[in-house]
Amino acid sequence: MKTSTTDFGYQQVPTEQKVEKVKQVFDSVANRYDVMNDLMSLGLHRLWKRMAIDICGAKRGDVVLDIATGTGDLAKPLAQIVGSKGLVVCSDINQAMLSLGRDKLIDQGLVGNIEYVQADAQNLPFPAYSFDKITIGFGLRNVTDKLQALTSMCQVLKPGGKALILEFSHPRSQPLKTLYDVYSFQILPLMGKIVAKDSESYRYLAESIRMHPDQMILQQMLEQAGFGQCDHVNLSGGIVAIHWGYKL
Amino acid sequence: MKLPSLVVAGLESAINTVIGLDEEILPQFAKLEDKVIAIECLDLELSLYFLPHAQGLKLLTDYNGQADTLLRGSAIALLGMSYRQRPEKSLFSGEVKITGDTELGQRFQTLLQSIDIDWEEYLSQLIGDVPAHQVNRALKWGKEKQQKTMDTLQQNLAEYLQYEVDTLPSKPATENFIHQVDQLRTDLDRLEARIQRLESTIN
Repeated sequence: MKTSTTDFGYQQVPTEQKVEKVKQVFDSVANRYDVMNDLMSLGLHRLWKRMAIDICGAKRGDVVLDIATGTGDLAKPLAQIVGSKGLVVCSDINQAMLSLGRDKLIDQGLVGNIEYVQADAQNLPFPAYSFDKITIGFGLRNVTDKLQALTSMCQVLKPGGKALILEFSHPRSQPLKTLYDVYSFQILPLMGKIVAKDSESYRYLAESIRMHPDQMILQQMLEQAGFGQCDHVNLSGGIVAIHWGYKL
Repeated sequence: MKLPSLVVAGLESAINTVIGLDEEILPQFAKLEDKVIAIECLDLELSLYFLPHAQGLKLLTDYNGQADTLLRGSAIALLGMSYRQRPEKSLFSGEVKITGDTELGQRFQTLLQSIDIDWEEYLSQLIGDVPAHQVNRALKWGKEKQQKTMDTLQQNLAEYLQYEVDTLPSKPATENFIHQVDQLRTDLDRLEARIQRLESTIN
């Protein structure tokens, strides 16, 4: 019997191995994750995340699920917006990242309206109609079955709720694409080697971005998963895109 | 018009840095958690939402819910209100309109105005205790000197305009004039009431 395979960067690996391989990547980079994010994006990731928060449209009292919460960069402003009457549920499949994120948020005094759940985005362990908003920042491309994850998000969202995906995407112009390729495959692994002592994880990052669906395909996947009024906006020339859809 | 994310992020960061320098103010912001204060600048068609929380302030250009307090006015009026010793004057004069929870608006403004930064403590972390104390003393001396100079200048200017060139009346003369106007208005009201009473008697 032929085993099903999936992409892990440019490699094809047995589907059941992808989760473990992604886990190894994030276990390896967890401690230097924030520093590397700042270095790799020249601090731009903060602005991309801020724009995601603006588009997300969370308000006081909302119950928000932040998938692939990582070090809590989206969870922090979300918790500040929803206030004490709201709730932010931070979820991540990776225990090291979730633990790092929880420690960071607690150290910054963010307690009371945040909960932490180690969960697989493809099978979210929440009752249907639980959340007003769902965010996933730089996490979807690491998920094995993206459509299943989007369907799971749609299930746990309340009617009228909004899901937002912040993710690397595909640059829209050829000159930018050429520059971006040089940066991703020559400079990024070198930075990873020097700062995080791990060039392979950052090579995976560059490859996984190329294998991630482009803007239009991801929007179609959102519609396929059951979302309505889907749209997207390109940031930094399409290097990053924010997609969103509503549960109608 | 919508402020760019970069500008709002910078503004929010600057405000929170300033708030972070005053240890006593943060618990006051925590007390306003769950409230939303909106400021609408009419001439620039610009809205900004302030969401206080335990770590400071969150600024948003869009907010899907309803703000608890809305302050509307021109950019100059809103700025003037934030600098005034008695901000309620801007409200009574109608330059700034406040809707919703007015007490919250005033509490929020008082909170922003009451931020008292311990510069000496902040500086001491950067350059050490002794130099920080010296710098702080020099700054305090400079501030006092500037205040004294401003007071003297204001007094001299007032005296020059009142007594030297006789352009402006003195404060007692102005008060006396206002009192006389008030007296005249009261007398007029009395006279009017008397005439009306006489007319009704004749009819």
